[in-house]
Amino acid sequence: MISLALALAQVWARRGQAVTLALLAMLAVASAVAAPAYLLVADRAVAAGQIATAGPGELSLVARGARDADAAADDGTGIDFTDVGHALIDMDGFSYVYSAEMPTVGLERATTYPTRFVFRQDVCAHVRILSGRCLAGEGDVLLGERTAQRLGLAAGDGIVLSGARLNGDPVPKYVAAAPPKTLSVAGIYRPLEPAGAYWGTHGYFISGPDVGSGEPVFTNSLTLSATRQTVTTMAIDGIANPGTFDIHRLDQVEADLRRVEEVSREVGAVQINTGMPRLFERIEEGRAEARLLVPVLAVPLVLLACFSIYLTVGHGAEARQNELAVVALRGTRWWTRWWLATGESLAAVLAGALAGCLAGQLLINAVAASLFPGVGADAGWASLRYAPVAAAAALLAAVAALRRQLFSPVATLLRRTPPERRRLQATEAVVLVLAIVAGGQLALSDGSLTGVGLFAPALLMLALALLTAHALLPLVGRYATRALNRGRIGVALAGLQLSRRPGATRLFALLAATAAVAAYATCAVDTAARGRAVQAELGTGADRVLTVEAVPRRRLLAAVREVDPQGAFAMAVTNLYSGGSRPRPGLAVDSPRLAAVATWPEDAPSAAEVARRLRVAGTERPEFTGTDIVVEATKVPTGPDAELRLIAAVSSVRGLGESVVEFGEMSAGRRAYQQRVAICRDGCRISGVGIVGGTTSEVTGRVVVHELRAAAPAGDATPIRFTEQDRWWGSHRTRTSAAPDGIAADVEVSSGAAGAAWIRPVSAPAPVPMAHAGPLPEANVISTLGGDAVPVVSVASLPAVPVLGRTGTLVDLELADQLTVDEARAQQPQVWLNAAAPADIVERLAKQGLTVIGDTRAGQVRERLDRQGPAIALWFHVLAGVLTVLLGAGALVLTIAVDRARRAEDLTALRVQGLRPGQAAQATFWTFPVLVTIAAVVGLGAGVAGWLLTGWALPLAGLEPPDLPLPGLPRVPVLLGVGGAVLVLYLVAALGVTRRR
Amino acid sequence: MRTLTVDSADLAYGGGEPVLRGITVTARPGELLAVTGTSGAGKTTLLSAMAGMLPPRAGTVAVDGAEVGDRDRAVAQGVVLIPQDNGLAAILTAAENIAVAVIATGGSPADARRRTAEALDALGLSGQANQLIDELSGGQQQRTAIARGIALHGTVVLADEVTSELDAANRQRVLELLRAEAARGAAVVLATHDPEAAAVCDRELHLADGAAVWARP
Repeated sequence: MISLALALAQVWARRGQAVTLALLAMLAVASAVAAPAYLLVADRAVAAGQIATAGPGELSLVARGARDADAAADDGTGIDFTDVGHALIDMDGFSYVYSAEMPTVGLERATTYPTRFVFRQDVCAHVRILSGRCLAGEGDVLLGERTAQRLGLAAGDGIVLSGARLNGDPVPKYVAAAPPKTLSVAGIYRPLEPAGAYWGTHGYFISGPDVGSGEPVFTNSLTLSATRQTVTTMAIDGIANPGTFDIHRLDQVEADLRRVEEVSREVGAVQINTGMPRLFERIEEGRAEARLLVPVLAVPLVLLACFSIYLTVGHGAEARQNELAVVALRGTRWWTRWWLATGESLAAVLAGALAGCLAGQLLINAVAASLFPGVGADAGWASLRYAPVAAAAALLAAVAALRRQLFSPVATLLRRTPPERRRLQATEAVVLVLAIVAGGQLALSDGSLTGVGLFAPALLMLALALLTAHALLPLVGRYATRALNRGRIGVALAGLQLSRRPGATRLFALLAATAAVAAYATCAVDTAARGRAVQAELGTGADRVLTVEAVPRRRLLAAVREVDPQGAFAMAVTNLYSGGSRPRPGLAVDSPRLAAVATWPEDAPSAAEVARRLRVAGTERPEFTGTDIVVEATKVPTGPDAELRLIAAVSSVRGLGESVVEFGEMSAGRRAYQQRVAICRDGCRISGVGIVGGTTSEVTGRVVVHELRAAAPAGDATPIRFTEQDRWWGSHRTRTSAAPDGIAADVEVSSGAAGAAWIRPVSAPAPVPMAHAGPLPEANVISTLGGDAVPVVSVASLPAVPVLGRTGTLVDLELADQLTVDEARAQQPQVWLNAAAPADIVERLAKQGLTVIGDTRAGQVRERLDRQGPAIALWFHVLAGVLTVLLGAGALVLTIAVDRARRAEDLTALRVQGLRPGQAAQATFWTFPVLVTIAAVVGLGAGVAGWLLTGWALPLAGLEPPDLPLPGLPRVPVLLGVGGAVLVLYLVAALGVTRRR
Repeated sequence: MRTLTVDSADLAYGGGEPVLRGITVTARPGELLAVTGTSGAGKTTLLSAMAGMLPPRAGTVAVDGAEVGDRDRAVAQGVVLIPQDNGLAAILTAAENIAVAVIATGGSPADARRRTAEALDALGLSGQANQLIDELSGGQQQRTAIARGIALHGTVVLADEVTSELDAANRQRVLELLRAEAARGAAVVLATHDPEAAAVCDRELHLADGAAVWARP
């Protein structure tokens, strides 16, 4: 009882220290509670982020099955939606839309795609009837407004449609396979929200040369049933209702989906299409990334919290060592001695630990409410599962710190200044060995943040801080001795107090380690932020990228130039051919606009300079005008007669497209080969005259090309002669030479575009200038826009090509187009825009004939990245950095407060002996500020060193990062700013407590 | 050399009753003055006032007629105090304690090194020069404090119970050193309750019941 009263009296007598110690214990336990609590919040935030940025296909599902009327008539098979239907109905939270469609012909002239004849439940509620009425009776259909306008149809008109099937031609066509049915156009429609969830993922409104008009013919179920069917695709679309994807329902939705898929597999004929599994995978990936990233700094946070308790309890006990020595001297029983030594500290730690359980959860609740509004917290006690362990660790740390006072002989207790240590202590050696083992494990496991490797960052930083403290403080002591020998008493006393005061090494190590954790957190957070910026900006290519429907390359170029004549905000871009014998990702860009529009990688030659090197001035290709083209050429017999076929590649000067004209098999001797080319009515440029083989086997031959001319009645009959050899050059399958009245080509060719040999006009330079990232293309040859190989020369080496990443090529679109000998449209044509692009750019492009089918903004990509697992997890690093610095500051405050009396005693003694007030003040105010300044600088270095050693293992850009040159280091000003803030906080704490009297 | 004069001084702590009243005493250069009395008689109080650490409530404390004032002024006038509790900084070694005091009172670093070595040698502490204060015995600590007092070469040396923890040989050595200080011209005041130590001094002032009586004027 007396002991208890005595312990309480001790607590009261040193209540300031007790409160500070309790706060430190609270921080320690709060840190241990905060990490799992944050992971629970991160789980919810990751899910919320992914759901918020999910595509429509990821929040819906389609049960789809096809019924072939002929097969059904033969064997009675059909689709049974019953089981799947039941399973779908059991799937709560979805609204279902039934639809059925059939390919038909009869409305459009094209046969490469059908007219989609579609019944969709409640379609009238989702379209605007521009004229006429909506569907009512049997035979009614709705036509799209553009289709009606194009075909000159209006409400009330009749149309005839027949159920269709693909025929078996090499180039398949849709042909009628059912009797024609006359239908009545009830109304003309325009979809209210073409991209709305109601329409599902059927792509009704996607148009394109090989896809169709993008306007299905809608009808009702009566009409569809009354129409003779061919292959009918039936579908049930499940569209998520609001609240279905609430975070707490995700497991339920996932389980329901699994059940539906199971039933679908059993039924067989019904297929479930949905992007939900990918969404759930992304959520799980994000959570996995968070689970890897959060513990990286949770571990040092808890370790440092225990270390700070160890330090402060130990320091407090040293300060009252005399009391304990007196107790020991009197021969007090061991438990009384134990209680008097530990009771005061343990009471404070225990009280703090209990408060920490609550504080940790409240802290995370506040952080979650601030960072992820609306996400909410997970009800339950799961976050407290580590609280008892953390509380026990805090108490153990306190007891460990008191071991000297518990077990030392009285003589040792009476000694105030511990002997100087020169060798490593066992604890330091253990930390060093563990750091080496953990670092080695991390390196050997290729960055796997599991097992011992998870502790690598924490242990490395701690080991660096301890070793630096061990090495540095004796140096400070030596410096102070030298200062005394030079008569600089203030500096000398400050230095000697630093190097000799009890626990100075540990305090220094703690401060350096906390600053290191803050620096490490800064490295992780800022490097990741920079990486996300690169991913969003360089990965997108420009501020905004519009993907447009396939058009000829020239039309794309011309349309974009028309919309932006000055090249201030828009640039045409297409992909290079990615197939062929030399596949390599590449982009062709309208290079003079590159600097103004594209996002350009750091550490690369300037975009303007690269653009200048890519666009080399050349002469334009020869032109002719006329719808009929004649090529005069001679097939020279050189050996066994091989089949050689003559072709020519032309490009419309009006942007109507490109064409490869086939003249057929060449005959021996000089002949004129003629063919019709409609797109050259207003003029064409010659891209090349080519020879191909008749078979897949390679054959050789010799051909002399004499001239090319237009032969149509209204054509320009001035021939283009091939007599000037320096105006033409041969492709890689051709060896050209001068010949009488033409140019001779010795060729080695086979059938197909890849086997062709070309004689091209010298317009574009050969080899073609190219900027590249990654290894140079094999033999310096790439596949250009049309897939044919052309020689290239690198004019710039880049760390990355926008969008493509660290392996890719970049050429000028205009030059590449001049070299292209095909009739394909631009591959994945895009319009890249910068921030100056006008708001109505889509409409402006539409006026020029470009239909936008995709719109990506770097800002949106960045927003999505900011809501993914790594970004969410890294907020915990910010929190951990702040908490560790607060721990350091708390430990510093307590240490200075405890140390003040002893320091004052020494300085008072020296003042009596003549030490002047200025010198005493210098000794007082320099001691801890010098300590914290050195510790902050060392900590900054240790944090950066820790980052360099282990930061590469952190999945900052996800578990599968993009192939982009993501930065590995933070911005120096940010790092220095955080270091400065930590230093200021420590200085304020040190000076604030030092000034108190 | 200088004379320290205490004239009709009442000495008290805070607002309390004076510990000593009407004290008048002069410490002259070249002589050893013993201040004796029982424990609590006021010896340390008198030496504190002489050292400028306790301003007299009434009367004056002066060195060659100039008021001692506070401790900084007393130090400037060459008043050296060897306190009863030794007044050593635990964070410093024996040599550093002396060197800091020498430099703080105007000595050069070279002076400090030389005088420190001489003083420690005189007290038989050369081997303990680089030991921290906590590593020294009580007697060694006391001798370190005396060595510091001697190294300072003061005009007035106030030694408060400086032989209390010393063996006979070391007590003799210390008394001889104090005599040597007086011989150098310093006014030396030795507060002691040891009659043998007091007997070595030239004069003896006895304190009792708050007043001073000359036992040996």
